Amino acid sequence: MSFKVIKPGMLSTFQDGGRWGYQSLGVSVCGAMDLVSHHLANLIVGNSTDMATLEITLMGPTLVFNEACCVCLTGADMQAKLNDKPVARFRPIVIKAGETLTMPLAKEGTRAYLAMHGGFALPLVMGSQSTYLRSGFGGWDGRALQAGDEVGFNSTLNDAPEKLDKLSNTLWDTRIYLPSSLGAWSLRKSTVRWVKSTTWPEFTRESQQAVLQTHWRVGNDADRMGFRLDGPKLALSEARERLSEPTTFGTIQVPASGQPIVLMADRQTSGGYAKLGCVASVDLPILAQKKPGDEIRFLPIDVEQAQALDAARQIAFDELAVQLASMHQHIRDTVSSTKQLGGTIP
Amino acid sequence: MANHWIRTIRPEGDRCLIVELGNQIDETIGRRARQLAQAIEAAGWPEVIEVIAAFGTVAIFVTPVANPSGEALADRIHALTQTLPEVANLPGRKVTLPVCYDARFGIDLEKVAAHAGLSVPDLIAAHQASVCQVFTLGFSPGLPYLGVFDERFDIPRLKNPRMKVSAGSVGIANRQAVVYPRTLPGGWNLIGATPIRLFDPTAKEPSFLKPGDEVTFKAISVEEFEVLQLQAQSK
Repeated sequence: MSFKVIKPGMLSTFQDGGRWGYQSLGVSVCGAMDLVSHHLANLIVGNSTDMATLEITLMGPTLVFNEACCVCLTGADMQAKLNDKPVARFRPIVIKAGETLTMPLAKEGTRAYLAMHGGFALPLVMGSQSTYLRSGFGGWDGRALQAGDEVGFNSTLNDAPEKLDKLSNTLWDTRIYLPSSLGAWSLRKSTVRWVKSTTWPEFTRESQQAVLQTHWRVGNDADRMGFRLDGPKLALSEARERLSEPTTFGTIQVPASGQPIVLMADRQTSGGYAKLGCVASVDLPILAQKKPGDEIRFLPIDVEQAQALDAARQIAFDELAVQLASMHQHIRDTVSSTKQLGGTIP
Repeated sequence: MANHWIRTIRPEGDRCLIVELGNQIDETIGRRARQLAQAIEAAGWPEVIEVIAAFGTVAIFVTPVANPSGEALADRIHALTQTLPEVANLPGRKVTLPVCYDARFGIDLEKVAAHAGLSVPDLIAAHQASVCQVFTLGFSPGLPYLGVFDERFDIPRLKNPRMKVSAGSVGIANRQAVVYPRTLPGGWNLIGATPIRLFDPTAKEPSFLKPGDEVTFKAISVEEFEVLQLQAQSK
């Protein structure tokens, strides 16, 4: 029950919902950059949403599977092919033993997510399967995939050809109605809603206007830790000493250089810079799907609005789970063996 | 009652509230932050997924659906402070950190001593005589921010941070100390090194130090350093 990595891709790491509960020890939360695509991939393939998916960045890996399994790809369009046949995104896909999955290059978006029915065989480190690149633990040996790695998974499908064909056909015939707030929604948007912080009034009037009017360009320093944005330099009316305080996914901070940085999944647990505000959780996937050079604009909303949007997104997920329940039963009926969750450290 | 502890409660985006207790590095406020954080954790509110105290703030991270409005949570936090004692009374663990102040580790010792107006031996003695609190851990897993030292340790950070500071190094700046759990870039003035392994993600208790610990430093020789380091590596 494994796949072999033939080509690793640019940056392919396992990520789940994040390593929560250890920020007070200085441990970054990590987790998927685009949590909606991560969540959706797990949901479509019939997993609980806390299982790790493979986060694939810009140029994807080539993987050969040694046993039959069921996967789902979401997020960026990597032009994925299974033995030279195009693979549909946002659908459960049956892979047969010996087949090769390629994901050459992102045509739209930046990050794709590959979920495996039953999950990947990865140990829990401090309660999470997320790869913590900077500290070198979690996920697959604390690092991105490399050529030659053989990664286990927990469930294989019954490999009798008629069973697999029947499942493929059943899955293909199943209509999946994705709510408009899920799916490929985030790939085509560039307006990011955000909530102003209480330090917003400390920025000069010109800086405040610049934040609202500028077409910001995602800088070359845009990785899992944070996105530096290129545009006008922002300034405070009066500089003052600040105590460092906790940060969140989406905090927009402005260091002395005047160049804003949006903190992302691998952010440090605290920061001492002035803050413009925070990106609304519901729009973080828009940012996660951008790459250096892409443009974004900021649209302020109030915190109650941001929370209502966030809650509505959660409800859309819950409704989708109900819609997909019978399809998941077909997948489970074709599973031939399941390993205890959580493998050994490679 | 401790309802005067809180200065403001403000949202940090849509999934986090920050309770502000003070904006200076102060042991009393640090203790209050930690006690409030522990009380919020103990309250077991279903939407709360993590609570952290750092210097003068407590941050509360919440899940989306169960939190239709931040107001209600803020009200509950205000009510909770009514039940806390006037003076924060959570005892911190007492921890001794062995440090080798040999010149091979304490590469900035002479500069720090000169800045303090002390001889190197007197500076080392003053460092050991200080009891400090872990205000927060951050920058890297298991990296403690320790304070507050007296004015003699009020030395600025390096203008040009070093690209590599070895694991175990003890740094001083702005009346605080840090200890590097692994090799990292850093701009603190290095006065020694500990052989203790500060962070191990596979251990049951991953971090040697925890917020609120009361830490004292104890001088060890180079030989003791090497023995302890071997022991830490073989664990």
